[in-house]
Parts: sequence; C-alpha cells; structure tokens
Amino acid sequence: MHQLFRYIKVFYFLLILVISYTATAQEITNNQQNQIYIKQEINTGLLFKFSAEEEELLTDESFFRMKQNISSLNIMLESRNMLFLPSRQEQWGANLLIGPFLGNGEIADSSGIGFIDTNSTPAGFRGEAGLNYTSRFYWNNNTYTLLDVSGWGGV
Amino acid sequence: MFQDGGGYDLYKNNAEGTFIDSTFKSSPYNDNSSDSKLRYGFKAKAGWGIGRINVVNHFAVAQWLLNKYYPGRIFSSDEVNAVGNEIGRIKHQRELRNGHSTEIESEQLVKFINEKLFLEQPDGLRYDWEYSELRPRFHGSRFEGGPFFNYFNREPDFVYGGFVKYENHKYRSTGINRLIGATLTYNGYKRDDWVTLEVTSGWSWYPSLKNELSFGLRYIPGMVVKDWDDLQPVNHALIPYLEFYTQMNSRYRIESSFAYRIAKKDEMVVPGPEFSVSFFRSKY
Repeated sequence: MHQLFRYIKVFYFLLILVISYTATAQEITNNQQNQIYIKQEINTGLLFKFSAEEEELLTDESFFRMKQNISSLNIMLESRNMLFLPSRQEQWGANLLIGPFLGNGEIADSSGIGFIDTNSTPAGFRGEAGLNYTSRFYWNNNTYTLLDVSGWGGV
Repeated sequence: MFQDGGGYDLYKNNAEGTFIDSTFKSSPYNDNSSDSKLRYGFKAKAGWGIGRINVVNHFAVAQWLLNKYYPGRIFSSDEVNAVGNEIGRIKHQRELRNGHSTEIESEQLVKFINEKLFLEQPDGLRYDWEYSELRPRFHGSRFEGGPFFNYFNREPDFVYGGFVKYENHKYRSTGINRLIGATLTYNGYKRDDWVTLEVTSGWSWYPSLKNELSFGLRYIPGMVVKDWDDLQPVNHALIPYLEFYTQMNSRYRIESSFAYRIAKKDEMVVPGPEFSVSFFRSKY
C-alpha cells in the first residue's frame, strides 16, 4: 500500500505544477459572445497512414500475437461539426475510409499442436467507418454534464 | 477520429517462418492464403465537469486582420472582440448545402469595420478572408471525470473504469497557442487492472493566417494492478508529436501528423512511428 501512496504523492505534485503554470492573465473575456462557435464541414480527399498495429489473443489453450507495420492509402469522406453555445458544447462527426494497404511484421501462434513463428506480409483492401458524438451540457456558466460516445468498424 | 487497427480487411497474407510441433521438431512454414478480418469497437464515457474551453478562432482572425490592415494602431480588447463577434455573426449564417460567397462575406466585414470602428476600408481583405478557416483554436480550462467503458472485438475486449482529466488551452497571441493536460485513468479488465497517467504539453505556432505547426510531448506512465498490495513496476512511454496544417486556398487543405512512440516492447504502449497525411477538399 505504501507504493500506492508514493504514486499519489507524485500525481499531486504534477497537478500542483500544472495548476501553477496555468495561472496567468487572460486577454479574452469569457462573455457569452465568445462562447459561440458554429461550424459544419464535409471533407473529401485522400489519406495516407502508416502505423504499428498489435493484436494479442490469450486463452487457456492457445496464444496468438501479431505485430505489424501497416501503410494504407485511402479515399476519405468525413463530416466534422461543432456547435459551441453558452448552454452546451457539442461535437459530432462521421468518417469513411477505403483503400489498399500493405504491411509487414511478425506472427506468433501457439496451440496444443505446435508453435508457429513467421514473418508476414499482408496486402489487400481495408474499409473503415466511424461515428462520434460529444456533448457538454452546461447547468450554469461553469458546471456541465459530459457524454462522449463513438463507434467504428468495417464496412 | 480515425482509429488504428483496421475496420474490414480483405487481404492476401504471405507468411514464412518455422513450425515447431509438440515433439519440438522444427520444420519450415510457408503459408500464402487469402483472408478477411472484421474489427469493430465502441467507446462511451459520461461524467461531470467544471470549467469551460471556448473556440477563439473568430477572435484570432479579428486580431490578425486588424494588425495586418492597420499596422501601428493599438486596438483595445473591446474593439477586437467586436470585430470577432461580427466575424462570428457572418460565418454562423452559412448553410452547408447552399455554400457561401467569400466576396459578400468579406464586404460585410469591411462595412462593419468602416461604420462601427470608423476606420478606412481595407483593400484586399477578401484574400485573407478566404484563408481564415483555421482548425479550432481553444482557450480556457476544464476539469472533468466519470466512468467509461470500451468494447473492442479483440483483446483487450471489454475495459471499464473511471477517469479524471484536466485540460488547459491558452491563446497567447495570433501566433501562439499552448496546451497542457493530464488524464488519470483506472482500467478494469477480466485479467489484471491497470492505471495510466497521460500528461501532455504542446504548442501551436501560426506563422501566417493559413498555416499551423503544432508540436508537443506526451508522457504516459502506467502500471498493472494485480492487487493494491502488489503493485507492478511503472512502465514509461514518451511520445513526441508534430502536426502541420495548411490551407492551399479557400477549399483545399493538407493535414499531416507524425508521432514517435518511445516505449519498451510488450508494455502498454506499442512502440514505433505513426504518420498520416491527408489532402482534401473542404465544403463548409
């Protein structure tokens, strides 16, 4: 338990550091006009992504692990929306990506039959769609309720 | 907005390596097969918070335009706010379906500056107006917390817990925005639980109205919690990041980001680089 208290102390120290750093004068007044921002946009174009991906599945009888670097070029369609008002702040959006991908990495697959250790180079097509919504509903000028949901998956 | 890990993949996989059977006999392994994979997920969090972060794009554009077209003149905060409010009034009347005219909008702003601030009508403001569609610039702070859950159709599949988050954005000038934030998350899982703290510090630099360069650092310590009396060693991850955004004209944009996850293998953060660049047409 003493370890836990030590980590809590470190967290409080960081919090105090952060708060003291932010206590500076502000030029922009927090009046109602400055709390309003509305924007809707639809974006269409191309997106290139490169990132490391990792998957793992562990059961009582088997073990599977995949580590890959994936590059993908996608046709992109997305909607971004912001509605910031004194009474509420909402952001919502949707996106659709589709295009070819190429990867390389390692797969380790262990079961009762045996153990497979390979280098893998997948190549194919990927489709992805997502939705997101965030709301901060203000009960007064300073206090709010938060709701944030998002979902994504294949198409 | 874009998740890592794929949605629906239809692919051909070429795998070469070794197979070791249950008698420890080793043999070459070669598999060249077609496959498909579906990944989907859902995240939800709810909570309570105090504070407010506003989007200050209209204020930033107002300050930028006044400084450019009336060099040497000192404007009060009230004057900059008044022009910012007028920019907001003009832009908030836009309808996505019908589009908008930058010529009519910029004329409205020129008329406002002339009639309300008694200043000469600036020449060429329409050119800058077309480039005034920055990504959101924030100002303010908030502290929030609450429960959350994530579902993913791969491991870790169902994670639930609670979080507290502090975020502070500072509009320093037309050229600089600053961000600091910290999130403490307790993650419950069917095997072991874990705790992470994510501390972020970053800056955005606006060398001109149409360009943004952001950079910063994320530090993510985390530890597995098997039992409160048996805490595991803390893992550390450091993620420097760099983002670039430019408006090529009133419609076309380039958005790019690069991050390098510095972490030990087989810990909480997957180490390695992450890069994305998009070229897109924006209708707004």
